[in-house]
Amino acid sequence: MERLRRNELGMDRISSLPDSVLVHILSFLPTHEAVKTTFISKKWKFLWTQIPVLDLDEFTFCDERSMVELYNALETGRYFLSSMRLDRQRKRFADFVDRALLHHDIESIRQIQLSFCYHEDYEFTSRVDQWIRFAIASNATALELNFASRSPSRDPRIEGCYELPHCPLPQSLKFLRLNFCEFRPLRHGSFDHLEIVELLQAKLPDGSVQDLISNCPCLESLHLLSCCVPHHLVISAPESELKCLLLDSCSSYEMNGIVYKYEIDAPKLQHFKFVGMMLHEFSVKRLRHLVEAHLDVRQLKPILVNYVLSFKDEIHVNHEIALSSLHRLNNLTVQTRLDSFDLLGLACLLRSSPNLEFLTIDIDNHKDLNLEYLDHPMLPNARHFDEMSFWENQSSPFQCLAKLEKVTINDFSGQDNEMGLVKFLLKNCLVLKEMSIRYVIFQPVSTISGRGIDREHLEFLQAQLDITQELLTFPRVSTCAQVFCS
Amino acid sequence: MASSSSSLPSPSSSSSSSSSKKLVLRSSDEKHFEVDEAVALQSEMIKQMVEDGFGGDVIPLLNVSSNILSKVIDYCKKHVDFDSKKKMDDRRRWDAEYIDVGVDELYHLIMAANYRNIKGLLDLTCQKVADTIKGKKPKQIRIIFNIKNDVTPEGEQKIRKEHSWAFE
Repeated sequence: MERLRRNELGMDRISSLPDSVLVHILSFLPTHEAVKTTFISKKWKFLWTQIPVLDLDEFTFCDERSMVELYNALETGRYFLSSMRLDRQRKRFADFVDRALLHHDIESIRQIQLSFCYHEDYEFTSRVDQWIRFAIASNATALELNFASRSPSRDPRIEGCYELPHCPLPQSLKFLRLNFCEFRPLRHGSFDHLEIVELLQAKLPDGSVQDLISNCPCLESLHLLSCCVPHHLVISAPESELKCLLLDSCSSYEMNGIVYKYEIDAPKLQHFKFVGMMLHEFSVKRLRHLVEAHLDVRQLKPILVNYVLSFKDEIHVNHEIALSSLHRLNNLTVQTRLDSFDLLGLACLLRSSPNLEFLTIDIDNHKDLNLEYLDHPMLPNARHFDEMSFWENQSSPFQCLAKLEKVTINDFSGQDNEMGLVKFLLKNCLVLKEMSIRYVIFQPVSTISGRGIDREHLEFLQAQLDITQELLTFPRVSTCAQVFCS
Repeated sequence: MASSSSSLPSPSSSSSSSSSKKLVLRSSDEKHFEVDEAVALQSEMIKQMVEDGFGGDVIPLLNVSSNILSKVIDYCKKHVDFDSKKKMDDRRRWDAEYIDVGVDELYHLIMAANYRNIKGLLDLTCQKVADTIKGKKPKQIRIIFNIKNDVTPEGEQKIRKEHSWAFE
């Protein structure tokens, strides 16, 4: 597939293609590759200046050694001590962007991707402002400004990130992705056509998320990934079209980085994903259109599942609370400890999702629960709670038991609480087709090498076999239910 | 998929049922192809023609030969299938095999996709050319595509100077 067979008739087919097609071909290339085609022949000389896609990436101007050096310098705070080689490569990129933007026909641009590694002391910062102004003056529909290059660990709370110049963004914009910069929407006019916004490692001062939502009548999808947000994050979009919301690993300006309160009100939400740490209050209102939810709370998970359900503003920690609001939810992924805290919430989620067909439970086996939360005032009776008989003792019905077709449990280790859940589901899921259980990966406890580990591993496998055999004896109400263990 | 003109159903019968409605396409070398409407409508141009009321007749494709047309129909058929199943990996694998062709055939496919306005196929074929160009020196690109260098050595020197920012 890689090598194109040469044409044997000796005809120059490619150059006879219409210019519009040649330009389309060039738009699949990174801009620095496209510029090189200026040399091919007279016909090709100015073609690249018409490409609708500008893809300017510092990474492609630096070799791997330089990039490692750069990332190390950023991590250790020794940005000044970079080598001449690195400086030369980075200058070449800056020069290239200057000239490429100068020669290119701005009218034809529809998409701009700019990616480089910004630092407060970046020597070409004033040029960056010019590049951004150019991008903003275009009629682009898609704009991606990445000031962190490939680094996933730039922290806008600690480092100075890039601040966008105060001027309106293109009116035509439909897609916006920003990485490692400060974003204050009110400085950039209104976004009449903006549908998708992805903010990564961005600094979002108080009110900016709300400003964005109120200025984007067409916003359908909002991603906040590793962003720095206020400790009380409000995403209130009762009138908006927001269908997809992803909140992943955001932290606040507080010293401890904790976002104390999440308040989400987006009635048209269909897909919701939350990854992070959750404390105190979490309220998602009106989820009646939710189709897919993914909840992954790394720490202090207990409070999660309870809180995510707080339908009204107040928090319910009632054992058998049921919400009618999730009736479209058919695919749910929850990371949970399946301990006393989570069980309450999980039961609540299941009870609130009458049409759930696919359930994935990722069991979190990390024993790092902070004990002080055991006595959290929000969690009454947390200590006096029987995990074993929890499911059997549920008196209110779970409507989803008549719909669940596939259950997947990852990192299963066969603890009583896990077995209790599997038993309950097999016994009650009327149309279950598949129960997939994936065992936790073997990790030796003993520090002795060699035989000690071998024996431990053997015992581990034996225990797994016993668990599997026990699982297979559980009664199944669904005649077509299959159980897979791996 | 290719049928000779004799086995062709009369155009009037092809507009009867709605679910499996057929369209008849005619290549430049006068071969007739009967295809499901959904397959033919992958082409924006044919879609336009059908909307304008040409659906009942044979649709002539003046500058697409039968071997290229049959390959294009292959693509459209497969992608009607893919669209309903959403299997990205399968689609990628199939596309990669499909596009493993020589320069001449690639050219004809691009022309057909461009003329028929089939976005998926145009992207696939253009991407293939771009992948071929990527990482190569202008000289190598000229050899692969038989492009005549019509720039004089002095002219080339001049461009090189003008574009020094783009090269090391």
